[in-house]
Amino acid sequence: MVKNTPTICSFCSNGCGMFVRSDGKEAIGCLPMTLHPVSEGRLCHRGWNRFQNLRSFNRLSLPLVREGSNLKEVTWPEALQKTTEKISELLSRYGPQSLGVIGSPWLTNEDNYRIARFSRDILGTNHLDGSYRFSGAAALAALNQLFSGSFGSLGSIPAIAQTPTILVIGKECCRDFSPVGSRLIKAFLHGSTVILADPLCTRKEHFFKYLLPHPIQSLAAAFRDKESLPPEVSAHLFQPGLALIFLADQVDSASSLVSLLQSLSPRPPTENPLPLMIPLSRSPNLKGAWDMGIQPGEGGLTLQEMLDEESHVKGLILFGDDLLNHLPTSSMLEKFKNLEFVLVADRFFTETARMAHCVLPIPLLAETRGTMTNSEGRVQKLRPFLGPQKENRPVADILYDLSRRLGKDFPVFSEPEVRREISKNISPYTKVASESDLEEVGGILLPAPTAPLPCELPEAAEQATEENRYRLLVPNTLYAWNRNQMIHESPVLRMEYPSDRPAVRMNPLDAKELKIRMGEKVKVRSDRGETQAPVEVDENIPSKVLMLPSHFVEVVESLAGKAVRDVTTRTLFFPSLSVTVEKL
Amino acid sequence: MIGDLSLYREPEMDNIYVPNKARIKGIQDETYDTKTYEFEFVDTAVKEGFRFLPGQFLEISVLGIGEAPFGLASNPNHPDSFRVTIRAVGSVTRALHELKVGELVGIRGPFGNGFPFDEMKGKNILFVAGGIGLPPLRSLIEPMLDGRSEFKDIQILYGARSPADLVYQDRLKEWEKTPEIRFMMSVDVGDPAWIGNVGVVTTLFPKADILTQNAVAFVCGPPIMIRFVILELLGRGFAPENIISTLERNMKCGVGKCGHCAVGHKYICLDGPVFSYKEMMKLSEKVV
Amino acid sequence: MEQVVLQKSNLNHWVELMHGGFQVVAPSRVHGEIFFLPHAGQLESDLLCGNATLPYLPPKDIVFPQSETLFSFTRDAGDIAFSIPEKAFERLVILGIRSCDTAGIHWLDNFYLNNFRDFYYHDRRDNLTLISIACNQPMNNCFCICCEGGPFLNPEKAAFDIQLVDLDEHYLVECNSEKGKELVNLNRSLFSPPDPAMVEARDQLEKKSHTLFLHEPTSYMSTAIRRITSNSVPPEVWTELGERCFDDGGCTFVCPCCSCFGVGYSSKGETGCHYRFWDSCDYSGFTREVSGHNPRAEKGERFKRRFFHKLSYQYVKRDGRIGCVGCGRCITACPGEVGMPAVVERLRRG
Repeated sequence: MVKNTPTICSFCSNGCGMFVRSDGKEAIGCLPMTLHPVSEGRLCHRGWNRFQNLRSFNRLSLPLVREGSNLKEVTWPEALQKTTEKISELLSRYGPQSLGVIGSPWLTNEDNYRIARFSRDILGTNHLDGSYRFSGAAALAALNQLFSGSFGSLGSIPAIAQTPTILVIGKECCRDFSPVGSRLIKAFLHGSTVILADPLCTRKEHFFKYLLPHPIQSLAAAFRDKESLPPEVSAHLFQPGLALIFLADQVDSASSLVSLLQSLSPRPPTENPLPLMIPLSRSPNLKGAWDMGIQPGEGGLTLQEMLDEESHVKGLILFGDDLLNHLPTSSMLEKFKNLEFVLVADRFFTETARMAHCVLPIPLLAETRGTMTNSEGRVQKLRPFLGPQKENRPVADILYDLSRRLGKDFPVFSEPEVRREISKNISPYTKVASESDLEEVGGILLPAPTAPLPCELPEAAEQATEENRYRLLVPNTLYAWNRNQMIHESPVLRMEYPSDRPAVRMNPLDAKELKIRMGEKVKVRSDRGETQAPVEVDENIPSKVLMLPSHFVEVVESLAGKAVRDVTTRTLFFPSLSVTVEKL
Repeated sequence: MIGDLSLYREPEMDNIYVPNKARIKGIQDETYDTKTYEFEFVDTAVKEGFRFLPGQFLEISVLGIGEAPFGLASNPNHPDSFRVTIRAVGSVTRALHELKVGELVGIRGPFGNGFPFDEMKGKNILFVAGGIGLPPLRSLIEPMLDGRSEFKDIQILYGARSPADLVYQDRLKEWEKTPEIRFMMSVDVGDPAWIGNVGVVTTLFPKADILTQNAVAFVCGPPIMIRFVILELLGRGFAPENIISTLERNMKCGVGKCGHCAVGHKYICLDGPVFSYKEMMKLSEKVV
Repeated sequence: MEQVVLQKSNLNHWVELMHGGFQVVAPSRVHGEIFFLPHAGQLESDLLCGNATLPYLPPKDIVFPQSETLFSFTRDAGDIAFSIPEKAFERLVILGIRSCDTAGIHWLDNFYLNNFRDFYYHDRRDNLTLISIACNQPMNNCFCICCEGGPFLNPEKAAFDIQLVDLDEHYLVECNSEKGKELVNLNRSLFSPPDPAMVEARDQLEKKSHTLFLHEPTSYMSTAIRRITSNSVPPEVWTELGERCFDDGGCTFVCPCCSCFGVGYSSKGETGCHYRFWDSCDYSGFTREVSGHNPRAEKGERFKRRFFHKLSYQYVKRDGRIGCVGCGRCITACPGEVGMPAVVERLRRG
């Protein structure tokens, strides 16, 4: 008969409670948990179809080691030995600062904590980071600045339903993160005012009362310049009782989020000074990995700096992430390809794994123990639906084995023991040592932070759009899901998130004015460069706006030239540009 | 993972989801992206018992990759050498194009309602085909030619994007020459060697001397072509019940269970794929 | 139909007897949810009484599982061998299924067993016996009475195996098929003939439950059905309803009368399989073709389509009954608050 294992979904940062159903050998279905505070008996299409990627045949089943241009299947001892040799070689030739370690928001808190310790204590390198450097780190860095350090929970998803005013930044937050969307609708049915801010949207759904055409980067300026906002909107936004929902992956500079939050806070000090905030992410453990310290240590390099042409990093050890999907420039990709040693520990044979020198299979999140922290700051326990499989090994075992071979002692702690460590060393996580609290449905909600201190951050100026020019936006779009291997392994989800072509999207009226038909090529020119791309007509794009998804790296780079640096987050991003468009 | 194979059993004969094995007997290149495949069932009983009606389709699978519906494109009077014409557009058809003679595929079917045949006797028949719409119509044209005397005038109008997109070029030459049928071709875009009609297939209509009395028209091709051809035919006096076409939808099971091909209250795989224009108008969703 | 009486205290004993030739599943609470699980030891009697209780998933999952392998294949020297999974169970009894879910199974029977019989469905359904319990008291979301889905099954209209009616200390056991009789025959001495007072009490309970379940006029669905059948709902209404739909598919998966599936294909090395899994017409990929063309690209179109399938007279004629049994699960599963009652209400308003 069917066994139902209660666990947490691993697609996104909502952290919905669900059951993975299995017949003892493989996953055969999924169910939402009725009593869970986030899912409440509902799942989104990713959650309902999660079992499909769990029964995929494309899992890595044996370690791989590179021989020339091929990857050969080898035994675990061989792979670990080969890895140890390469690591020792790099350490003795170039020293520990030649190694970089990448943790992942697709790994548990405990695994990330162990990886942080491994890189510091065993390898001795401070170059530690996560792929979220380009999609999420800016938002988290901004929040860290605001709260002078780590912060716990900024709000709970069920509380959204009772909030009088809700500001949603990006339609995707509502449509693609349905626990949030459902609370928006509940709030709307109870008379709340729901406001949508999305620059790539011409028509709002009926439950949004107002539509603001600003991206998160320019919302702060719009709020300060109250002239540009309808007075009703200002009235709602600046009263007590506000919820702010945004996609952390789409925040590209820390200063833009800080300015936004500061501009929303002119309230009496007795009120709750900050709105309820839910920073959503397309990765399940963005906040957890960040909190566990997957960030550069003292003097260490960020991922972007590690893959800079000039950096001294020669070897990269990657856990649980398909890194190639997240790199925003082609020079980073080149640097990655030319590293002397890359170790990838992952679940599927991804693009990144194909470029590695050694590949180690690890369990899926559905097969691991440990906890993850969702976008509410809720720490929840995962439960594996299958016993340990011989094809893959947990991250903890790999770290222990490598350390032993390097002649060092890396302690083998169980998940509860690691949690005790975490509760002692990481400030908002003091309560995670309570195993009984963690067993409860809904896990442990981290404590809310104390009131933030105001802080000043340099702000990137928004370029005004002149006549005959278009504003080109380069967002990290919904198509990012298409590059997620778990989505590919599901026959349903790969149809729900189809791949897109490198095309510039424009409004049908603009296309008509320029006499351009769908698929025809145009030349797009900025003051930094130019490119040619075919046109896709999309009636959701407002007039005089163009959209180019950020992952089409070559096309984006030729227009934007060098990316702009965000000093706080130490990342690069492509701001919106003023461009001209001509038919070819 | 499959798990322990000893926990499996032989499929039963009446299991509509398990395919019959068939080997590729022959591959004919038609155009740069289209090939015609001839298959032969491995099991003798299946091979000898196989029959199909014109207009029916098969569900052909590349095992482990995918399965898709394909209209039978050969003469039902010769079921032992049945053929389908396949254009490479997606992962299944591309995988099929990689296969060589002698390799195995899975075949389920034939499914679908098929074209009306006996009711067409004594009538004037018009075929209008666009591009990849000719193969399914061929399964009706060939048996009509076998029993030629039972039908009155037979006229075929065929259009393709360019000369390189014309399929069955050898057969087309035969149709051009034979006095049994009236045949005209057109291409949307010509090439230096093309001396025939240039324009979409509807540009042939004024020159074709189409018989509209006691006549039935069969139309197959891309949806936009079907729409324009039907308008032309209605304008010339064809009644909706005498305009017959095929509808296509995403299919998975081919037997009316998976729900993907449902349009209005009909299932394309059970009640279709052949529908008259009159039936199409009665569907609650706009199809043409 | 035969009526006999079983003392509630003998229920466990009767179920123990069934273990000789059948597996028995009954509603059980695990992790705070109700599932149909193999009976082992004590039955949870509060889930087997006249108060309506429903597991999250309808038992359609037992005859039409969320995913199942259709066949697996192995290549060997230029040939391929096919095999299908072993039978899921030899004989199974579902104890404690409710009227709405039984009506749902009958809907699925009509769909899967006719017109090309579905092998896997038949394999399971043929060996299944249903012991249904009539509901004397509704739950919050029940509206079976508007959809001919309960609260009591009518022996003239519904072909059921056994219906139990809760009469406090006893169950009235209504046996309406050979399979049902087979179970009662396991030990006739457990059962006694009903006295007229009990039969009278049973009829009174049915009348009373009707009043408790009825919070709208019985013609509740008929306005919606009429408007959908005649295609006279303005497209703006479908667009507005579609805006509240999140394409999650939840309503489809929890609905006892939804049956669509997709097929997945896997292979590695010399082996592989084709498997099927629940699919939903809510999904944009449901009708999207390889070329990228999608006949139901608009959200409102898909939403309209689903309700056409559920409620139109064209489908009632085809499927034998309306595509809804009033179990209310879609109300729980829908993030956008557009489950069946909300939509019917909106369509009635016009």
